[in-house]
Amino acid sequence: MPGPYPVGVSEDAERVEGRSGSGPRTAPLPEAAALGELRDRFERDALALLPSLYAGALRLTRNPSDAEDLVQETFLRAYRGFGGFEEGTNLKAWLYRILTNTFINAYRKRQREPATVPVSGDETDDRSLFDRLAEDSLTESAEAVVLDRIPDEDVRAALESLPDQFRLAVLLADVEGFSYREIAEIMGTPVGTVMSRLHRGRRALEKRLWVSMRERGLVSD
Amino acid sequence: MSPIDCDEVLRDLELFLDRELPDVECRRVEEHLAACAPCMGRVEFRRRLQVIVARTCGEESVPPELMLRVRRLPVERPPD
Repeated sequence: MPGPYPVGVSEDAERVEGRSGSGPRTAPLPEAAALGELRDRFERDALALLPSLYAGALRLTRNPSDAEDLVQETFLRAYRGFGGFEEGTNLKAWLYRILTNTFINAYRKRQREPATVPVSGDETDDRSLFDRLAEDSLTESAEAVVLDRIPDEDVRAALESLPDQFRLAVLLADVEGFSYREIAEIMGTPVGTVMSRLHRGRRALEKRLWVSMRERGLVSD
Repeated sequence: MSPIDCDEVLRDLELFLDRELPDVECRRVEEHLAACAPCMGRVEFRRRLQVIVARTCGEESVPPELMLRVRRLPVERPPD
């Protein structure tokens, strides 16, 4: 039902009213005004990251309903903990850290992990996808070309098949482009652990892709 | 600075692709790649795969209800 104002304007007006109503009774100090401005910017910048965080939540939870809950919980915690966010630091990394912690605490506890590729079982066959393709009967130039024939859903399924810690490392590095140091901070692990999880996670992802390429007849057996 | 061989490039490949290799070593890998087609093929393959993973796994349209739910979350004042 259309109201007297465009929706965006009335929502903004509500927020401004709510803020002044719950604020201190004394005249706002310049410092408080600056904080309000910072919070508005935080809110705007955080909302701009929603698509990235939702995609990450989907890969982690593997279903839209849990992903929506995870994102909502993440933003709720972010808004509550916003006082602890240092201006000028990486907002995306900060939000991903909250998302990661929320996921690990809430979702992993439920032990609803579907059957995943046991990464440890892959260690005996540590060949990269490139080497697997090179050993196939394909010509050398076809190695990269065949990658483009993998359906998107197979790539998503391959990532989602990885155990949590490996999925997280690959997601943060290869999808979100975080540095090792940032991933270490997000996951709360040493950089060396990040590197090991990334390496093993990528190899497991490549192996899974290889299996689906064979199933689809993109490569010979 | 001595040139590096394929084995060394292979060892540092992941760090190189992740831009985590120190500048000096990075340049040595780049010099090797410029002269070695097989290693370059490997690097390009891995880059292409990473682009595909990022594209397919990183783009999702946000359900409008979720956008609304997040926008309506109570925004608390930072502690004074």
